[in-house]
Amino acid sequence: MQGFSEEQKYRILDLGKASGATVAFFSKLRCKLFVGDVIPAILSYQKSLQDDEPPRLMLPDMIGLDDLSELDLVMCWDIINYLDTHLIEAFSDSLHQLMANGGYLHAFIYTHKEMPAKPGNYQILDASQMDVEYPVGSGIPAPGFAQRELGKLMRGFEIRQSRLLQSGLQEYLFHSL
Amino acid sequence: MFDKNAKKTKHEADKKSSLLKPAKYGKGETKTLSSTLSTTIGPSINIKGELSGGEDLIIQGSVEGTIKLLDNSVSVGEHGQIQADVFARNITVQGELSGDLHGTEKVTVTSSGRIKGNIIAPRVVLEDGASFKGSIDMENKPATSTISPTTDNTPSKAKIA
Repeated sequence: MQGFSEEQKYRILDLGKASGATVAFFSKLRCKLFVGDVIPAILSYQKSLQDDEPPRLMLPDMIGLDDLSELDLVMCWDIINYLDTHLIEAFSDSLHQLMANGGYLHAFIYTHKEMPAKPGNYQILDASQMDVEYPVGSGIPAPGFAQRELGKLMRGFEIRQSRLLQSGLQEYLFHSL
Repeated sequence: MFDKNAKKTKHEADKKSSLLKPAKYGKGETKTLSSTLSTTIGPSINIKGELSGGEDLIIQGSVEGTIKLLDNSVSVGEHGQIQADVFARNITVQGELSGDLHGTEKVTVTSSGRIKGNIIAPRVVLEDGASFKGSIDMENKPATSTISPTTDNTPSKAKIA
């Protein structure tokens, strides 16, 4: 919440499922919170791609919400870990078009060798704590993107802040260029 | 004389207490009968057009169009199916709704609620398990949320700090 002004009205997109805790958290701000619930659709699109087919990800169409533009903050959660590198580029290109100048993108990258088989459901409990619900089942190999590699893949963004959490997740804050 | 008065007082007290007894309207929803008048649209009723009025409304059937009860509450029951923009003081959704919700006080989406649309209200409560896709326009007023406890069969949870 640091750096948020009480006067400004923020436009925030949660790519994940709706969460009451996240809604309650952002209600402390003046904001319009978009709930995209689009992660299954992105993964399904990835699955449908042929080997040599260049991805053309149209996030606004996938999300299908009116007035989705000039976003000040996008919460990606851990979706990037589950995308092929070509799709990450298409994903960041598409997302970049929705951002306000100087908007932020928040994401988690797994640093361990394994990660859950599917993205988790995240919710914000307070300014320093989040809650994540992982699917039941065995893990899969994690891509373990290095910071430099990720910086190149996320076109239109630069890494503003990065820190390793106790859980082994690397938290990233990207800044829209 | 004293006995008679005492009986009458007891009778009135019983009557009063029965009026105040909460009545069940659906899963998890109770309402005090004496507080406000309310109308129920039953599960077999389909309405197309604009609904307006001055009492609370409970919808178990289907409504397509616009619902305007600006000073009252609208509750969409578990079996309710709404394709409408709703304007009310308090709105509670337990069923399915496609449209925009304008609540001047509060909008609540219970765990069985499924909404595709936009919510504009100073307070928004989204219970765990509720399905929502759209936007929530909030001004700077505190919102609350209900988070149900996790059972053993649910996926694993972790805290990130």
